[in-house]
Amino acid sequence: MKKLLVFLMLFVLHKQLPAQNYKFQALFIYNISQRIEWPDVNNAFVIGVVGTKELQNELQAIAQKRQLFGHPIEVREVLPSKLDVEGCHLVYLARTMSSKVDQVKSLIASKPVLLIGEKPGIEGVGINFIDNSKKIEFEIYPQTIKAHKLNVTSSLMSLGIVKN
Amino acid sequence: MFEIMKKRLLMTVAVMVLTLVSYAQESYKVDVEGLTLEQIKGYTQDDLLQFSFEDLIRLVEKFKLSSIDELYAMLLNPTQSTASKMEEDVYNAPLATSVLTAQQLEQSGARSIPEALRLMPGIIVREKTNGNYDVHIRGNDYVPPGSDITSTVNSTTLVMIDNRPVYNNFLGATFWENLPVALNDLEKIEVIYGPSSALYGPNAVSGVIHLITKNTDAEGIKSHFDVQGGDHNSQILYGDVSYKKGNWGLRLSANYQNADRFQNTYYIPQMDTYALGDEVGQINAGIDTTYNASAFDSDYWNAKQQGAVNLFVEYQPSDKLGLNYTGSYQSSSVQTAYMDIGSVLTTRVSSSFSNNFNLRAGNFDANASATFGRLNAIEGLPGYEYDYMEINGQLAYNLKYKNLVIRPGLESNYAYYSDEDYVDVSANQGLLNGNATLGSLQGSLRLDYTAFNKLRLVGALMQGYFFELDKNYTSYQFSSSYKFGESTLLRAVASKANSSPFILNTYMNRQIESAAAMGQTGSMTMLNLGNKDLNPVEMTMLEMGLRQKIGKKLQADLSVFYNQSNNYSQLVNETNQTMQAPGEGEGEPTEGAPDVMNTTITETVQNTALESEQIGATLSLKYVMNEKFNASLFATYQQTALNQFDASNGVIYEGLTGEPLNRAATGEESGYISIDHDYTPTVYGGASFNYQPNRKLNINASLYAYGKQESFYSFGPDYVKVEIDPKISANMKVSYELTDWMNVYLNARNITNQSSQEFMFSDETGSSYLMGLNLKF
Repeated sequence: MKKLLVFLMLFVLHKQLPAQNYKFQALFIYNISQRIEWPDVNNAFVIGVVGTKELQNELQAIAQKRQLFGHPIEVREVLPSKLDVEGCHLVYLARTMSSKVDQVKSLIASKPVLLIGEKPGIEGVGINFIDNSKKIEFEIYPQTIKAHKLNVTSSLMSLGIVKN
Repeated sequence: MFEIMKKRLLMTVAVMVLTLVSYAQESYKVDVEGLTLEQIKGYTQDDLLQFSFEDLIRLVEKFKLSSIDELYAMLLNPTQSTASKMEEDVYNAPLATSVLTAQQLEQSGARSIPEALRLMPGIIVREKTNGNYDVHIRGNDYVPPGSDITSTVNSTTLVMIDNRPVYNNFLGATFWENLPVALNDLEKIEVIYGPSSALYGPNAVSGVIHLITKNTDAEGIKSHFDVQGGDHNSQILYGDVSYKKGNWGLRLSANYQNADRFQNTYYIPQMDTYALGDEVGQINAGIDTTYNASAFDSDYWNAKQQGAVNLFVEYQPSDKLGLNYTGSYQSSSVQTAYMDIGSVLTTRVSSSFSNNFNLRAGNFDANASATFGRLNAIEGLPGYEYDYMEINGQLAYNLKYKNLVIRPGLESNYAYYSDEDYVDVSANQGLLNGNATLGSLQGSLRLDYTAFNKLRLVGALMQGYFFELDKNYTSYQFSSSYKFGESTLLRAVASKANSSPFILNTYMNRQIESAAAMGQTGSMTMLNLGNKDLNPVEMTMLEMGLRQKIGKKLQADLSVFYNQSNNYSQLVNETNQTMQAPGEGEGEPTEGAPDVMNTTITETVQNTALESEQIGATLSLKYVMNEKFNASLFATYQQTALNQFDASNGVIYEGLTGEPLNRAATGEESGYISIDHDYTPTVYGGASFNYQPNRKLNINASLYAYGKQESFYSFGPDYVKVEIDPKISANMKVSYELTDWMNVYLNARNITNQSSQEFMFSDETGSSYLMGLNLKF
């Protein structure tokens, strides 16, 4: 019995199943990125994901099929222990990693990086996903985004809930 | 000049490419509002990348809202196909019908199929020992009362797995541990109530419990494991791996279950005492000398150990053609109440290999199944072990003409049972002493007509023939329904059905020789005989039903039923004594020697005059508040009277009426009386609640309750009153999703530890607490 449990645990550690919500969120992130202007995308467009393998896998699948601003998309796993966000254009902070928001904020301060969160009430992010039973909504914090030298297109403003 | 032409040409090509690109993008523009949930589910990431952000947002909203609508439909009005042999939702079903879906089964924490039936209205489920159950639809259980415990088995409900009948033809009972499928294999449990032989052949007398297994639904490899363990040495393991590619689907599943009893003592009714496990073998051997005391299960703590593997193969090249095959092997050993041999609990061991084919081709549908098995109903008692083979086939055609569906069908069943490998046939030690077969052929016609989308008339007639018995039988089912607007449906049913003859009551042939009574010389012979002229149990029912949608969130379903059943049977004994002159036939008579008395007691299964009459009502309410909370509540009230009950035994008469039987005053027939049959509880029912505050946490609570049950038991001249106290069992399962592929859960059954007996003379069944891990990849 114990052996079976250990075997199952080991087996599952190598397996992931994308959730329906992350499938849609990844598509949302791709579409949101298209409607924000970055000052310098020279090589790859780098997305750093903190704390969600499921979303990372979904974004990687998109990266294999699509580009952003004429450049390939690179999806990077950002370990919560290191928070190596250097070179990222976009950082996604999973709900379970929301406590790291201040650390990430200080690392990307005044850099052209869009920080996306998924926790109601989280402060300091540019975009925040609110997933409820009826739809996936996202809050837009234009002042925070501008502070990072990024420009939000008006078409994006009309699709989200504009805050601050 | 050339340069200008080149530039223009390039510009023209560019414009054409842009036009094509934009056309291509335009062509992907779809009407999001017009999409169905199934279409949205079918979109791949590639497809979704083609959508504009605006459309994508609308699509997600549509998806989520449709999912809520789907949830409402799934909970309030799931589809079923048992009531009319075609897929339609429960609201429109012409018969009393209820459905449990895979999600409800998983959320409930039920550990086995019979336990899950406690979540459905109109079903009486008694736990005999930990994990072993007695299941009856609506009642008529333990008829005739006072007879052996074997009369408590349910031989009037047809249980099927994907159209394969799974009841045991030896006695007509469904031994639940013999079913190779477990809850993780099931897509749905569908139950129809009332006589339905016209749709399904013999044995669908009190109703049909149809277990429908899962199909592979997504391309690629998927796997699911569920492991739970807890007190009473409970271990439940489920696992399955499925693979789907194109038209083919494969699924391999396995299940294992172990549980210990709640006590290690055994009640011995004939001594009115509890005995320890290691004494029971000797006690049983003292009561029945053929019993092998040393064979009594030394592991008398164990209530249940069973395991099975199933291979499901699907091939569906088109909507019109589909083939499903299931091959299964199961092995089980349970301690349960089956027959009074001293201890009422004995060990039943079985193994079987079954094959089941379902074919749908155009308007034809067909089923063929073959099961080969070995079963020992009472370990240690010679005569109860046998090999068997059961073969069933059905073929039907669905002809649709405007609003009329005509369905002619043919069905055949064959059963072969043999005990010759397990008993001394020459000594007539077994119950069969050789092999016995039963075969039947049925032809049926079902007409289903809908007028003005409101009035529906359904008629089904079946004419059957039992080969060996050269006996015809007819069953029918007429139903009609009328819709008042969109929210009210009124329905009525009149139907008649019969059970099958079974191997034991037809072919029993046992002879027990013993010495004459003390002080006499001669022989004592006991013969137990079946009866080929026996009429199978028959039920006629009238039912009225009302289904009411109260807003979008609440649905009520009321059925009021009246039924009459007859052709019950029991062993009737006849004693013949022949006086033999001393030494007669053995040479010269010896003067002065005592007379030789040869006694033959013949017990033959015979129909009795007994008739059961039941009137009752079942109300079921289902409520979906939102996607977070839903509830169901159901209850049945019923009264059963037994008329023409043979109480000519003075002790039984007095026990039942409180007055002595005065034959001289009332005549020979005075022993026939009408009594209330209180073994079927007057009130029984349950409730379930599911609360999912967020996508990670799920809390499910359920209740099952029944009122007091009273009956009696007799051995020899004794009349023993049997009482089962009212009981409410509360269950709870709390599961938490750690990741999208892993959840952990706590599962508490009979949480308040109501430990009273649920079944006469069997264990006091208490609570079980389990922890589990569920993995889906």
